[in-house]
Amino acid sequence: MSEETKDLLQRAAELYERVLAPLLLSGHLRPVRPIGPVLAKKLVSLVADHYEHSDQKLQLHCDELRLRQIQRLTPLDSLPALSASDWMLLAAFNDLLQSANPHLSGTFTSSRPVRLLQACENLLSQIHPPQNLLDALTRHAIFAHALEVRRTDTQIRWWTGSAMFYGEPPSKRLTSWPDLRRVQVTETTTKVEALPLPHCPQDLYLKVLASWLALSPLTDLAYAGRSEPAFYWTSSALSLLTTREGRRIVRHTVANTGRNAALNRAAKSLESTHPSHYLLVKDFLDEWSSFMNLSSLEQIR
Amino acid sequence: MLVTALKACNVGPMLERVALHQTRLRTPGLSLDGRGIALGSHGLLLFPSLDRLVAFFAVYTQSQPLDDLINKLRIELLHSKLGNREVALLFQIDSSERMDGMAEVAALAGGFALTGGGRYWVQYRDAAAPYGYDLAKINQANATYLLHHTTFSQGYDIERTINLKSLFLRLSPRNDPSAGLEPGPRWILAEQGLGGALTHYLRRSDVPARVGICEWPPLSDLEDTPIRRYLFEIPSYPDRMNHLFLSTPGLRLFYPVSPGAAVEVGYKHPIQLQALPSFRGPGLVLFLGRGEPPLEIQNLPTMGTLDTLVRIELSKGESMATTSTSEAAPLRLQLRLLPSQRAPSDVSACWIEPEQYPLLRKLLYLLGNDTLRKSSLAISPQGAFLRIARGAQLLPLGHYYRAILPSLYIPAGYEAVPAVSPQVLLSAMDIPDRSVVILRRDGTPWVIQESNFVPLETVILQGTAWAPLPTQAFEELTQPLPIQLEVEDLGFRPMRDVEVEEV
Repeated sequence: MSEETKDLLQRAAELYERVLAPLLLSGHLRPVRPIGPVLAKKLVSLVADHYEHSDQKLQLHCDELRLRQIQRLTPLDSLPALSASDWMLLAAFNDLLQSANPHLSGTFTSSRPVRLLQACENLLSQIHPPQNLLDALTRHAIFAHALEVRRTDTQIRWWTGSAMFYGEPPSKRLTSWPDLRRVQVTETTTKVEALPLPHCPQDLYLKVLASWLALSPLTDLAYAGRSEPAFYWTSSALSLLTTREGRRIVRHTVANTGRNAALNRAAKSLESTHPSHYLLVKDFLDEWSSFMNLSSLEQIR
Repeated sequence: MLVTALKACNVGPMLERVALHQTRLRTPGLSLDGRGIALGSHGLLLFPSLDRLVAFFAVYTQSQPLDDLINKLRIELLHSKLGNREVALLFQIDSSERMDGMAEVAALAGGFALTGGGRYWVQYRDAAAPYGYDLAKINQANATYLLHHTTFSQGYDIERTINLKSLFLRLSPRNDPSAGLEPGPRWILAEQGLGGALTHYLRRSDVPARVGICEWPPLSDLEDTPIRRYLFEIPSYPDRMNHLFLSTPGLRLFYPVSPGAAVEVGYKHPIQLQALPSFRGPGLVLFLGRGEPPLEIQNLPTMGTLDTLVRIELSKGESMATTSTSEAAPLRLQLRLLPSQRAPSDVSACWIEPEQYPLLRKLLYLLGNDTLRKSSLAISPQGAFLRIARGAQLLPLGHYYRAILPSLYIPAGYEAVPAVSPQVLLSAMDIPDRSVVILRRDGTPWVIQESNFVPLETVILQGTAWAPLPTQAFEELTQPLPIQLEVEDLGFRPMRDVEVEEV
């Protein structure tokens, strides 16, 4: 085994442990060093469809949680191993999070976030949309809680100044002698869609995030009620509505009345531009509405 | 062979067994009933003494009344020519089943059962002769009764007849300390001098009772006035009065055993008097203990409720009231409490001053569940009175008290003088009912209503501030825990792996 292969396997293991496992098991997500499209492709060619992690217990647990996530939507007894698309989406999500890392850019390296987002966009462009329903389900199985990621930002104020810590514990030096130095610690929670720092390209970040979501349409639909990036009916999401099973899975995915308004609003935008798509979505929304009414009646009975 | 069989069949010189399907009997007045048993018109139970007869009645009345027999029953004292005396109980027989039962009881009491009528009597059937006995030959002896038994044949004359009721009245109740102690209605016979006081005592204690006056003729011709006693009928009364009724001279407490008979508490009559119709009213027979003769009241006197007889005080009769009090005043003593020579014991309560409440609070943490449950507390501005069922002396605070009555407490180590009984002490204070009296060391009483005592365990725990715990729907619990993004330093050249290739 060459040194490069060992290095790639090491990067894959880190990506699995530090990004994929927390997405499934919750806990602390620690993105790895930015991967980029070239390395991602190398990595995928090495581990796709037959990856075996050194910690078999962790892998077994993650596989079980992926299956359980899918079993909420459809009766499947097994899921295939992580495919090339899954690994690339995982790498893209890692790079997306790292683009908001405050340590990425410096005085002379302020362009790094933009470069990384562009690389991420490049990587996403190489991932094909879900080819079938199983493909969409396996992607959603991994990223069902991707937008639940939160970063805790801590602002420390003392009598002569202030400091901001993004997603990392504040310096103990700055919090010492809190009474004497009149230290005030304020913690805020930041969602994934608001991670970029003030000087970073917010629009590009949201655009890449929307592209990333479009490649996992069920995840996109599950978070249709988000504020940014606004949900719109992508071709991969629309393709889910073309089959009866796909409609059923989408209905179960969006089974929350809070998302109804977002879906309707997105459907309205299709009315003028893509009338046929609009009819498809409207038909689905009407069907969903009737199902909701029916379940309400059953509850009353 | 035939002679041997006949000899074996003979059971005595005078009797022979009655055979199955035998049609003729020699004994006058004897006939066969439907079951083929030789039965006379009367039965006779022969007892060697009166006490055996009493034993017979004691056993018989336990299971059945004498109503059916009483009108056809007589007791005769017999004597033979040889001079021995026996007691015979004669009664009319209507069936062999009844005679079987009486014969069994008679055998238990040591008597013989015979049947017949008029002059000739033969032994009633037994296991050896299931169909009874008949005379082998008629004896012409000169006697009122000729009794033939397998063990004897004897002629008897009647010496005298004994009245059944008078026999029962002559029986002295046996000493039985537990008799009459269970709750229930009671009769109290009070001597004339105690009647008024008892009436007021019962009335003041709110005991529902009726009272009447009974009269008996004077004990001797030298006396002119009849004996008058108060008769109280009490449906129920508090247990605490038992001691007063039983220990006060002049009061006799009776428990009813039948509608017309009552036995003194602590004694038990050997016969079930309820079985005898003559003890079912309308009069009343009071059986006294200690061997004293019973008191018979032919007809119950007119009974009145206590409310109608209570003394009425007229507000304008001041002169009479002043006269009566001025006569008794010189004899009245002030109640005092003096240190006792005996070691204090039976501490059952303690008086705690308000200054000692902090210490009491600490000690209450140490008390066990049983003690907390059985203790009661009454709090007043002057202090708290804590009643503890057991082990009050273990509380190292307050002034110890002991209960000389359930509702009267005196300081431990002190005794009340004059040394009157606790009941008298309590009645002298004229305390309202359902009150607890606490005698202080200077003799002055404090009175706490019983209703003011509350179980200790219900008052010592103060309310705890609580906050509602918000709950959420189960669906929310299924949502995953937040995923916390941790940012790390990327080190030197973080972008070294990122290369963009042309698509």
